[in-house]
Amino acid sequence: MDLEPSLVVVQALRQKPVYRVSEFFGPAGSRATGYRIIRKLQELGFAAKTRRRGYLTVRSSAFQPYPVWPHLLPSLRALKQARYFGRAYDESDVNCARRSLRGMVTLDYRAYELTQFQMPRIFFVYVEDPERQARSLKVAGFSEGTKGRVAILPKEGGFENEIQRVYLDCLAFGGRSTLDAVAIELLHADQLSVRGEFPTDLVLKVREDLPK
Amino acid sequence: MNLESAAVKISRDLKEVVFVGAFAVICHVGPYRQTRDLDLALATPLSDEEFEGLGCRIFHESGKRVIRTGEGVKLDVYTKDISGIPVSEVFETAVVKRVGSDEIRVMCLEALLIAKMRASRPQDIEDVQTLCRRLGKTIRWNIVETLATPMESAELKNVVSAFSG
Repeated sequence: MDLEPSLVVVQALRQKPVYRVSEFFGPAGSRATGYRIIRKLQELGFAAKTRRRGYLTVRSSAFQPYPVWPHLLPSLRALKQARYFGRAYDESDVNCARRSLRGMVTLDYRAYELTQFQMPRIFFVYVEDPERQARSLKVAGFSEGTKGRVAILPKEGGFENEIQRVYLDCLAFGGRSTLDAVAIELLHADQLSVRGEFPTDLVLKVREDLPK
Repeated sequence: MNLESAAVKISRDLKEVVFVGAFAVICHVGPYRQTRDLDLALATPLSDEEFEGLGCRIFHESGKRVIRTGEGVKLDVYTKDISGIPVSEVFETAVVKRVGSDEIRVMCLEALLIAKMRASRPQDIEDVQTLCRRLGKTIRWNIVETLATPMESAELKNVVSAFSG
């Protein structure tokens, strides 16, 4: 999936919880181009349809500078393919998955290990063979759905620099994970060669709230 | 000490307190991601001495007053408004939530949504999506209309509509 500069018209919109499809027509220049841009953003993982037709959500990562976008694509591709599993739907699921899954932990739990900043919720783990790992979770009594606290991700892109990858995953995921990305950057800046941009007040807030 | 225990202790100590921010989101939707701090609205401001009398420690970091409980939980205290909603209205519309065997007062769903829509940081946008997805059908629109502008009410209706099937 290729990026194209025209997609940054999304940044002409202000960040908000949902958008009407028609809000894209003006910045895109036409209705047809608006639909094409929405389709591309969905394919890339920056945007998603909501339950009701005619609306969509856009990840906060779509508002990062365009030169950062190529670095977010592997994370977005992996997130689009995430598979969620639950058994008791509490912390015991995470403890069980930790023991049985082999792979690289990212997002909530890894960010928490790196920063102690924000309580984790979902155990995201990159695995070599998602199908095999999914089967082993099901054998252990897990069900696949949308609300589980264990998420397996296929390996997409580079994993040479683990902290950089976790940072980019947090940045790509957006929302509350953006705070994790800021915290990682504040504490592990020397490990990062690609960085996002954040409003000053957000950085100051994270710096103030980091455990002392 | 976890945040829930800290909130219960603060409620007992301060009496006239309403929890706002991420902790209020948790009180409405259940377990959720959050940092180790509590945002709270007070009916009347407390001095440093009064906080210290309750076992809190006061620091000044980068020219800003920072309050921590004896257990180390950071408190962000609001005494005027929360994203433009006056503290008096936050108190008038607050709801009681049960935490274990105790009760605490938290910002009502409607005020929380308006405050978070106004703040519009990435975490606030995610919180609005979560609250509307899970509790959209329970929003009291008469309360929204007293706290928000007509444009904000319309935008919130849009969000709820988008997440309802």
